[in-house]
Amino acid sequence: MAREIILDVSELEPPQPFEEVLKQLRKLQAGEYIKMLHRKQPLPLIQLLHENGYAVSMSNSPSGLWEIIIWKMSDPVSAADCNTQFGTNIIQADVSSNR
Amino acid sequence: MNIRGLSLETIPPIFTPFRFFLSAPLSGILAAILLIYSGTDIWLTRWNINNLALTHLLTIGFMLIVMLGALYQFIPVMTGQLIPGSKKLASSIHIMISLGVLTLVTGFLSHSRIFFILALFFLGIGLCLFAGSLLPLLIARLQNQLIVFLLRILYLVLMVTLGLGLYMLLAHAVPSLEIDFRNYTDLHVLWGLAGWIVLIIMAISSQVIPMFYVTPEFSRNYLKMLSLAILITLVSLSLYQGGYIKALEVLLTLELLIFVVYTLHLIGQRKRKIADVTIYFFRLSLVSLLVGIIIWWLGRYLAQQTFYFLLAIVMIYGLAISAITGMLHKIAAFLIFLHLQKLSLSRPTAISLVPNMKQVISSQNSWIQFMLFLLSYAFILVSVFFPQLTVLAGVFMLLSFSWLAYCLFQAIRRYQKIQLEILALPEMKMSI
Repeated sequence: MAREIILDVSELEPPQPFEEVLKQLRKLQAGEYIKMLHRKQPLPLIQLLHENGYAVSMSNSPSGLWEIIIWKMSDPVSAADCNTQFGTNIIQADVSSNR
Repeated sequence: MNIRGLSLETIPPIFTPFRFFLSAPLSGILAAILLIYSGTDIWLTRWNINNLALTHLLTIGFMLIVMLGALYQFIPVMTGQLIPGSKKLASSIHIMISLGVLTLVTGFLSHSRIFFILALFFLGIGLCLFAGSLLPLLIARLQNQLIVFLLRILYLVLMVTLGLGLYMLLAHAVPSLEIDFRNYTDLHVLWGLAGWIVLIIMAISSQVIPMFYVTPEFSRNYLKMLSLAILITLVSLSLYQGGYIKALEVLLTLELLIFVVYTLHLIGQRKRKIADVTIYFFRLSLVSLLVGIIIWWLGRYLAQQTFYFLLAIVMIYGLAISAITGMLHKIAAFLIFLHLQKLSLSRPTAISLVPNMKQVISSQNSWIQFMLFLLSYAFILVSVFFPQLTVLAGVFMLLSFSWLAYCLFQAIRRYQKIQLEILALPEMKMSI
């Protein structure tokens, strides 16, 4: 089982949520993934994560906060676990968008 | 909420919004120079040509230009969709509208038909390109319903305001058509002041206040109903000329009062009580709307010209330009931070080069901006009653817009310098 690191940024003002998640990502070990709790969908962050080899799953929790799950695509333990747990909400890169 | 259909391309190139943000204060500087040059003459009549030129430098040259830049930046972030064609069209639209406002103002000042024809051409093409590029997005099914709803209403109101404006411009450009444009002036002003400006502030507030000040979210249904009510009231006020007018005016007043009280209440509930100067810009903006409502109702006791001037100053300079100036300080710093972070992700050693937001535009510089803005606003209002202060008001306005230009230009120069330093570092994939 991969280890979940919970990061609640729901009461932080921009750009602190962004800084906090990058800080955590730099420390992320193999077999770990991040569950970020945010009041907004951080779309620009998701673009950056995709461009840098991370997979992202996003869903709206019952509390109204967004749950954003982030794991390294190259980490087989986290990828297998996250795909099983959060696979239905994975955000796919939209390759058709070329405007 | 459905996450399918989100484009991951939500960060447009930095110069897509910044080309608009950097040029907007230059229109403000021109407006201030015009105020200084006109002196006391500016307050003779609302039909004074310098007055018309100054108003349009501020509304088109500053407000509309910033709004376009902000839409290019924030529509993708809020809806997950880029504005179609944005990469190719943004610079053309920016050039067309900038040339449009310059030729329009030159037309007013010289009263030369050729400039009105050019203005009609540039503004007409620029606005059609923008309206056309936004339309497919606004009629598509999109998530984040509140802002999309507000943008749809804002779009309609803006199109009516600009449509009336272009129609009057046609009257100036082709006098042989004998269009009695003065009939439409009050409608153009009503839709512009009570519609476009109020809806811009509503749309900005609904996104920026909860996001940057960590307040509770605006009630979706409330803002949807309020914006719709404002639209219906404006349509009714434009179509009915009978005894309903007073009732509709009362209705519009109540709608705006509810918005001011509700938004101030939300700001008061913010969780991060750090003194941030941009929040004072928002408060000043909302209080200005309150003052605007009072002027509207007490206007009958004032001289007619004084009433028009005060209302225009409070709504354009007080309500719109104060919130926009504060927002520019906040989002310019944020965008530079975001783009430098983006660059540094694939270069692990670059992270120490990325400045925080306060290092991009310092709190001290934002405070200076607020004080200069406040002084200019106060002097412009007072000079309506004491015209001998007009030049001084113009000088403070010049200082305020020049300071804004300085803050934005030094921020983007800093970005370019750090960008080069980061790009010189070796790139590594999968580095964070």
